[in-house]
Amino acid sequence: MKKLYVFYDAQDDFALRSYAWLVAQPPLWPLEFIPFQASERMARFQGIDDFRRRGPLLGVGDEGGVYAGPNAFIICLYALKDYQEWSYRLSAPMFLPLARRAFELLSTQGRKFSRQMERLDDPKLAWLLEYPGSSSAPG
Amino acid sequence: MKPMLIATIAGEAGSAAVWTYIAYLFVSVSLTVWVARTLHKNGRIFLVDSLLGNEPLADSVNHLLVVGFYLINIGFVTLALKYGDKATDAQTALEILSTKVGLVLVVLGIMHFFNLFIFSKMRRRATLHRPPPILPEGPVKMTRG
Repeated sequence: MKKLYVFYDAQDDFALRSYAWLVAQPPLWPLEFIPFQASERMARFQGIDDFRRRGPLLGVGDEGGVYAGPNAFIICLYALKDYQEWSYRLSAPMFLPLARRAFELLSTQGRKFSRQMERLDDPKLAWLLEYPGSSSAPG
Repeated sequence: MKPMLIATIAGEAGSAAVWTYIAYLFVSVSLTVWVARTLHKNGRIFLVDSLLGNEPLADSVNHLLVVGFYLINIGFVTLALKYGDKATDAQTALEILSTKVGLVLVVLGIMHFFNLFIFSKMRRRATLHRPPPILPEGPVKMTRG
């Protein structure tokens, strides 16, 4: 991959916050952001409309591969210098359903928090993602 | 044979300069060996990580790096032996010894950080070539516009 196109729903709060966060991160490859509402730019990607209802965020690689649903969050993390490790961890079957929640936490809580999460072992991290707000994981 | 040779050289000149040289060689070479061993032992895990877990390659690179490290450092130490002031008494001997050993240490330090810099470059290059953890779901046709 040499470039990642990120499509986001500009009328969705979560997608807008994600966009604002992604822009601020040092990327490994250039990222190009295209809102769903920019129909002219969307028209360059034939067939993208089929994926729009899969979520507020879509990733498209420069070869035309579409990453939708939880995979969209993972491919965005994969393209960031500081978060590529996270993309590998979260793509495990255990975490894939929780990828959106993980992405949300990573993108709102800051780098320090993400390092704390990194130190958790898998079951504890899964617990944290599944039951947000509960401070203690089961022993 | 060897102590006699040293004694002869030292006795002949009878000077602090020769003793300074001997002490310089001894201290510098021991330091080089110590640093090389430390790097070899503790650098391995760093290399394995930089090379994305390729352990045989990491061991090979580790060994080759230590060889290069010895060559450059011992080469530098022997080349630098005769440069600088000559010792005439105990005080100048200590001063000169200290300056020379200090220079060797600084060169060792610079080489050490240069090595680390190269590894981090290697690591960064490796991350650029890691495939994505997931497969795309479907293709879209992209047209230039």
